[in-house]
Amino acid sequence: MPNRRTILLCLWLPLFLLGGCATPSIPKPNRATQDPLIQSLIRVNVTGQDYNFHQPWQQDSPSSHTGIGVVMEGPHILLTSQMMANHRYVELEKLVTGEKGRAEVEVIDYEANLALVKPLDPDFLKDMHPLDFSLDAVEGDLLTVLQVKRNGNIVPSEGPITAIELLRYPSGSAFLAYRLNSSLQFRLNNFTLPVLKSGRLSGLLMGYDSKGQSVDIIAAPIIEHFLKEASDGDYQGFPNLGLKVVSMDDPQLRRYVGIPEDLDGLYIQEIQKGLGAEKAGIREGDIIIEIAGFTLDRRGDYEHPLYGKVSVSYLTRCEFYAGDRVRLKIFREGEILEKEIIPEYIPPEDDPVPPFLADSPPHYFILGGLVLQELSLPYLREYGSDWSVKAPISLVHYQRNQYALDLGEREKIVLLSGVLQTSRSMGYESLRDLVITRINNQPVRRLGDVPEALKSPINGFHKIEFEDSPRTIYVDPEELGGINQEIRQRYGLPALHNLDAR
Amino acid sequence: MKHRGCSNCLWISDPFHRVGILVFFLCLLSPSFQAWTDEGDISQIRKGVIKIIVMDQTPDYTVPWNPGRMSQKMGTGFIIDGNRILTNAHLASNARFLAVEKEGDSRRHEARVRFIAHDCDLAMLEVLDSAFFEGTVPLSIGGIPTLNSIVNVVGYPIGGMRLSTTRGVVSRIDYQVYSHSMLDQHLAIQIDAAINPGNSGGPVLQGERVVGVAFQGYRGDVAQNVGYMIPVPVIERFLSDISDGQYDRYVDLGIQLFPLLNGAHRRALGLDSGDYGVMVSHVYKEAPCANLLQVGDILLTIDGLTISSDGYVDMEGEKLHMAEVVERKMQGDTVRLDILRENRHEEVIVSLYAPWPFQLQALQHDVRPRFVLFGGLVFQPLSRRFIMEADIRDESIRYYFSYYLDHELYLDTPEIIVLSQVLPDPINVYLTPFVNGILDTINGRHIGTLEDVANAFGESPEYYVIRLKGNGRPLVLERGAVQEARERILQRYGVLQEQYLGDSFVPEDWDEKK
Repeated sequence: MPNRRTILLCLWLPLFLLGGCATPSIPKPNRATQDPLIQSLIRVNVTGQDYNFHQPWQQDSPSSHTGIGVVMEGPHILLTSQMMANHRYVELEKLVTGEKGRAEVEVIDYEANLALVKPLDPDFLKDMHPLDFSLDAVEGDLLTVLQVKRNGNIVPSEGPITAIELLRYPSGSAFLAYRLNSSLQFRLNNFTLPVLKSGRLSGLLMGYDSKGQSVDIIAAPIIEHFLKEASDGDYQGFPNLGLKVVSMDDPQLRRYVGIPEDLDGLYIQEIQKGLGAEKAGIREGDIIIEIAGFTLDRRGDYEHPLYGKVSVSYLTRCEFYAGDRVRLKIFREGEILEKEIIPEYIPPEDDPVPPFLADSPPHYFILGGLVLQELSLPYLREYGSDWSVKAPISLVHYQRNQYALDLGEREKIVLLSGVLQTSRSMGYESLRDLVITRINNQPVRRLGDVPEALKSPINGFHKIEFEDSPRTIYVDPEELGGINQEIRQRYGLPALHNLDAR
Repeated sequence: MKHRGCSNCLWISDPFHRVGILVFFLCLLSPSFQAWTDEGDISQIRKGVIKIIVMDQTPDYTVPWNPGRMSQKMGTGFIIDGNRILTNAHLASNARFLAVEKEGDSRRHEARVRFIAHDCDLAMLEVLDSAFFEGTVPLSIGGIPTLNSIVNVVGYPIGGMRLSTTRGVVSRIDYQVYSHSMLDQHLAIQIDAAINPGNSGGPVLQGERVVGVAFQGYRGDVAQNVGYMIPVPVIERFLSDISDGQYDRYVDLGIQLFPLLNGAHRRALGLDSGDYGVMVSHVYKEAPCANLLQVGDILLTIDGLTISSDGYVDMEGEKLHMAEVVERKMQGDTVRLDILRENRHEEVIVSLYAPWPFQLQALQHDVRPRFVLFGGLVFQPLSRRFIMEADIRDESIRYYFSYYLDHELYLDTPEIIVLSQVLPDPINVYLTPFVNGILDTINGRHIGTLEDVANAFGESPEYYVIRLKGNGRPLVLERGAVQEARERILQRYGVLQEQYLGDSFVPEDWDEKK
């Protein structure tokens, strides 16, 4: 399974502003398609406001996105989560009448790019019909992407599924997607568009490449997993076995580990600490031969009854739910062993360096002008599109190796991200992006440890220790009040810390 | 003093200039020299300045067995007493053939490098035929010019048959990265006289005395009228270092400092608000101050000079970084530091030498790329030149390079060995995804240097099991397969040599010292 959070794409950018043909042909009104469907689709307008991770006390300017949501049983409205990030106001708008109503988010999964919202007024969707769900799309099937014009006319674009495979979602994780060959005619800048097979919901549009005329669609089984998880009120997302594998097609490696020619399988190259695989006693160097009765080939695919060869990470992440029991056959030193792993769901924000943080303001703590924060991918992304080169390499190293590095007791990487200059913090202005190890001789495992550590100054001073030069600096507790007042006056910060639980 | 990080916009005057291209253009010029009004006699000076033509060969780090790319470059030099020629190291580095020419005499004489100091960009040449020096007048060396005083630059900018002279004033005296090594920082003098490619190695004069050697400047799109010369203290240190017949690099304390400018910081350390004392923020373990200084020590004086809170001292009427005191010393000299450790005064005597690990981050010259080729896998140690030539953006490699010193990675791995290339062959086609991986072990043996790699591959186990850092999947090569593929790979890729283990900067006893 490829590292589930090898993030390549940016979550918060609209990756697929519908480009398409600049001179749209005039569509013929098609009353026949309009009638039944119009009662199952609704326009969703979201105004969001992102946070600035280099100035965590302030928000960027608000921006609005629109999309076409699908009414599902409940009734709920299904959307892509990409348009929901850091939402401030969510509004439903009926396609025909233009009637508007406020909505609230029920469940959101940024990793799988899906969200459910519901209207505040329970009667708002009274006259609407939930759309049926179709799970049986296979390669070659014709799917229809629905766009809706301002006047409420539905414009269908049809195309065949050319591939069903794991693609990178905007979060960077790979999940099942349909790839459709179709051209979308309008530049409606919709973030969510429903995709139908024979009048039933088969997916949501996730990306469109106007040059290649290829449409990437969140596949129905992913939506099904999301809806099932969402239905019991305790959302557990897409679970993880906690291991990383590579193919076993190198004959010299095969002979070295002594695996018989008639056995295929995947080589386990990394076991993530504390997750299911480690608990089940699986080790680095074991070879997985079979998962839940499915035989794996040397490349890491298995034979799916509908889709043919599909990557095994689809099997482990989507076909199972957190808490299921997954039976594995592994080859170890000439023997075949049976193991049982219980996949777990680890919310992305619990990662040592979270891949995304949305819907709550970034944590920070200002200590005598020193700005303390936790390292996260959104923080690194503030260095620009080539952040992996521009951001300090020591921080990028933490981000890339967060599962492999021995972090000791640390749950997060706490940083001195920068210094707000005041008359009493002069001399420290050059310090930035330094990893903090201890404050007042107490380990800093997460930002929330800071207030406690500040209760016991050393010889009358707060002692702050870093991993790298200058290694130790001091702040005078007596001066904090004055410095804080100065910061409020000079920089107009609304608050000097935010440690609220997410 | 070592500079952290490198500056991109400095050019070194010559490497890209080829003689011939601009000769025609320059022939149209008719330079006319007059005696300078401020005491210098140009007719005497021009007898001491010479043109240097160099055929060089730059090693190819992407095909390390190749002899290298050849090119011709040209610059300036000048004669000092004893028929010695001073010029820049960057002009004489990687030289395969050197020739010198006097002004107005197109006969070339073969020269050779007598001493070369890559860390301060100076070189001394000698001419085989002493008849060359007939009619020449050696130049004498002066001192540090005062700010805003006038200097003249003499040399062969952008080629030409006749000497060119430009004039400017001394704009600034400060520390500067010497871009020949991209790491070393020494005193340098900024002048506003035009210095262009070809001026490199030429004298900067005040009157008839040399006050500097022109060596680097900025590209025109970065800054104008900013040229740099190597000042007399650096020249004199070079001359004094080589007086025993060999050049032993600059010595260094091997520490990092943090200015004590913050009031709370000073009070916490027991200092009053005066302008003195600088804090030690890192002590390199393989350097002169290891075991003598520790992080948090406050340096108060160096050889009796009071150190200000930003690490500067008053020296010969100039405010200079305390490193300048060490800069002027030689291998084996000592320096005395008065320090404050946990509120107690102590005196520390440091015996100076040049720490070897610093060389990894310096651009190395006059060395061939070290490598081992085995089973079509090319292994190379990290070096600045390797990173530059292979255009490495890999996060892990950049981390190991950047933090080699600060995280003391050299203690375990004095050389960071990278699987830099796979020359495709049936025995290794599954290994191409592992390019840019960093070696951890071969057959269970820790890899600290390229010699360890060569030794491990020199054995004949049934399987060679290569493990990379942070990757649980071993790279496996069967002995039989490697033997069978060997000739095939060498022939197909025109490999001239399977390994080069010379030119290591790591001392042989690095492991015992631990």
